[in-house]
Amino acid sequence: MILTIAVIAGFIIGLLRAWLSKRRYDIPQIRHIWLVLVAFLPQWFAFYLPATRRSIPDQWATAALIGSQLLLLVFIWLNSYQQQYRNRLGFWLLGIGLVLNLTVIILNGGLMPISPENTSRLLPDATPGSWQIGARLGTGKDIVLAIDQTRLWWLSDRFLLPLPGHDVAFSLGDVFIAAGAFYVLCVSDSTQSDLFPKDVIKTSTTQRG
Amino acid sequence: MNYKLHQLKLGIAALNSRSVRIALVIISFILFVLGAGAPEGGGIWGG
Repeated sequence: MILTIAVIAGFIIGLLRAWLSKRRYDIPQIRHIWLVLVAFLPQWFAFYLPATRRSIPDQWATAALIGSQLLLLVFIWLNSYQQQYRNRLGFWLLGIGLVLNLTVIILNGGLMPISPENTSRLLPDATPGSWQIGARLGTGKDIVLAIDQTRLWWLSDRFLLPLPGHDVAFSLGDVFIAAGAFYVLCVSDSTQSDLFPKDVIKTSTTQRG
Repeated sequence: MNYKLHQLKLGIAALNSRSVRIALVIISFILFVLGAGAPEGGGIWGG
């Protein structure tokens, strides 16, 4: 939800910026949106849908996560170079975050590592044996690994955000992803395009008139 | 038949409208961050 909040906050602040500067809010042209839907489907079954996530074996879940994130990387690659320069920063941030998460996930067996200390903070009321080092944490994307067993531990879910009632653990990649989504929806502007710069549009309009 | 064709054209026009495009992009971005990110915990705040 913290990442979803970044998307919604970017949209709301983008609307406010447009309203304050008395222009129409718009967002960049996104191509190949279907790739996101296709990429998310395996994760939907493996991690989100209660009816299926408990029955899917961990090996399939790791394959779903890696395959899905590779497809999302293709989506970013296809979109980033088609954007005008100003909009590219947001897509680059999204891409960097995704690569950071994907790297640490692949290097640690296909799931995002989280330390036992952070797991204890997240689940203070967990019954003994409900999680163990070296095993997947519940039906989520994380695997509990000691820091000295974790490759590139600094890219793992090492940060804790205290929220009312629950803490959230997140990675450096998550920070980049949140920043990228926020930037694209808040700062980007599709009204100025490299393909149709303002002066060209003005010239063609004048010629027509 | 013409009426149905007209309705279909209206439907396609609605899909191409700016607000529908913005809604589609926001939904796809929510799916993207859920798929690309890997935060853990937080109850309703997690994910």
